[in-house]
Amino acid sequence: MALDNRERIFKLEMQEHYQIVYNFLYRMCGNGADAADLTQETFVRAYVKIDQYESGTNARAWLFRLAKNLFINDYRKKSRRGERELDERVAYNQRDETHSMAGFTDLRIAGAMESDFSDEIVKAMALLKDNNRAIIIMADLYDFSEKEIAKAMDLKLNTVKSTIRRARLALIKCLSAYAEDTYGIVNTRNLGA
Amino acid sequence: MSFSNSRKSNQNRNHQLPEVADRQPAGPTGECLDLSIDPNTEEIKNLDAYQVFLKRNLKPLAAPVDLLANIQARLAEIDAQKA
Repeated sequence: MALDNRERIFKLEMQEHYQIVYNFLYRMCGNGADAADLTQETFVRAYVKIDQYESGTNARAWLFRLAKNLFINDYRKKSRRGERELDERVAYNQRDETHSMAGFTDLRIAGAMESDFSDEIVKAMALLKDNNRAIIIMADLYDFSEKEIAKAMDLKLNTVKSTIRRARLALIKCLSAYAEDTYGIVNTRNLGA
Repeated sequence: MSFSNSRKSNQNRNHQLPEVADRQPAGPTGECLDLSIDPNTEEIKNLDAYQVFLKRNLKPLAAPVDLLANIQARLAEIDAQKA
């Protein structure tokens, strides 16, 4: 691709997304300095590989794909964490044991909409697998549709749907334990209302 | 004897209701967060409320002020190498 065309596509369709890509990577790696470095690398990669991008399509989704791959393939390999990962498959499959799902069918947390859960959400998200965290961030923070995520991440639509369902359930499970200790849970079914 | 136990049992049952009600959380009384899951579909019943809750807690962060300039500098280096 000619240099002027490369620059034109980059400036018109890519550059404006640098803030949101930085935010996405911040939520993936958890610190600003690394997120800034990874954002730079994402845009360098986008510039170099711009031939692979179809102009006029979803530049943001394409950048998220590059950013996610960069995070998992490069950054994660260098800083392999020793933390225990929450296997949301396990959390999901355990939903029927000890009636854990029953607690979620009517789960309302008093006052939580106006309370600061940010630390707990970050902790709970950090326990998701990297790929699944990327998907849940795209779906729930940046309003990507399931179809857009499937296309961007090269996954089957049903895989995206089931991943989102499991990851949300795993997040809620973590948050409900914290909320129950901190705020109390209003569960009208358990109260017989 | 049987009647007495039954009566006692009824008394206990009747007496328990307000105690259970008293166990409702005495904490924050603001807007409730509904994270209920539909047992049939296993989806969040109130997806909008859940997403608003996440977005309120994970607000957008400002990128470093020099980030865009740094990106552009890197791209200029690439162009210079190709030229």
